[in-house]
Amino acid sequence: MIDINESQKIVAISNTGPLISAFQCEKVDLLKLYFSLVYITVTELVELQKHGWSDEIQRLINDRFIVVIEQFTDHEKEEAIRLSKKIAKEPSSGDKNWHSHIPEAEAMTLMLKRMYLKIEIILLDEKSARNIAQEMKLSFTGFPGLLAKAGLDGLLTQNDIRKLLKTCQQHGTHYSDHLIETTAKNYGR
Amino acid sequence: MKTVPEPNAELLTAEDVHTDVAFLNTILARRSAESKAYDILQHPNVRKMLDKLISEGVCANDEEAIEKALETLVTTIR
Repeated sequence: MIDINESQKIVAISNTGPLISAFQCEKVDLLKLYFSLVYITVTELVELQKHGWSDEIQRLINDRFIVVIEQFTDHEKEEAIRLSKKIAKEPSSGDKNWHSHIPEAEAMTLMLKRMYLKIEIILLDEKSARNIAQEMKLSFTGFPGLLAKAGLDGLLTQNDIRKLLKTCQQHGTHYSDHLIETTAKNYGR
Repeated sequence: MKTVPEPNAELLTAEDVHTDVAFLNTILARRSAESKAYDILQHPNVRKMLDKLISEGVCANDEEAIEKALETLVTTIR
């Protein structure tokens, strides 16, 4: 078992996908194990509300575990538009409309531009956004990566990982059977 | 009704998960090292000794003082 004290936890910023996965399989506690604070942008908050996750996200905002960034400078807005266009152009992007990628592009922009927030990692499940994050030399993880880390730390068995990712899959998150099985086998206790 | 954005997004691979774990391991190791370093440097006796070494010109900064102190210690126990 690991014991991470509060001062060693990571400040993160998240896109909607990994948060929704944590809600779907009821594993928000794992986020709280590794992260001290998670920023989201107001467009992400709206997206979460649109997809029916208002209560879950509000609870975390009330706990002060999630902090919503509402204001952007003109320069940040321009940078977010530039990044969202890049994400939309990625061959792996399933949605070529750049407006759809504004939430993750805003999250990346905050990580790049607001050094004082001390954001060390961005939570991203979407392949096209991850490719751009990699290009920008940002550290990132998806929700399966987080479960894998918990498995590596002795917190989850192979069966736990399999069941949790299957639950997300059954609720509509696009994790393949192969990904679920290899993650469980490679990282489960 | 609870839904997900972009249900047809491209799938993550096992390789992606390895990358994610590597990022998490690196950051958590760095946070742990920073936390330990902070605790050590805040210790009054350690702080006093480091400040003395720097003010007397023996070492330029904390890093050099710690490195030299460890080298001296290792040489002593050989």
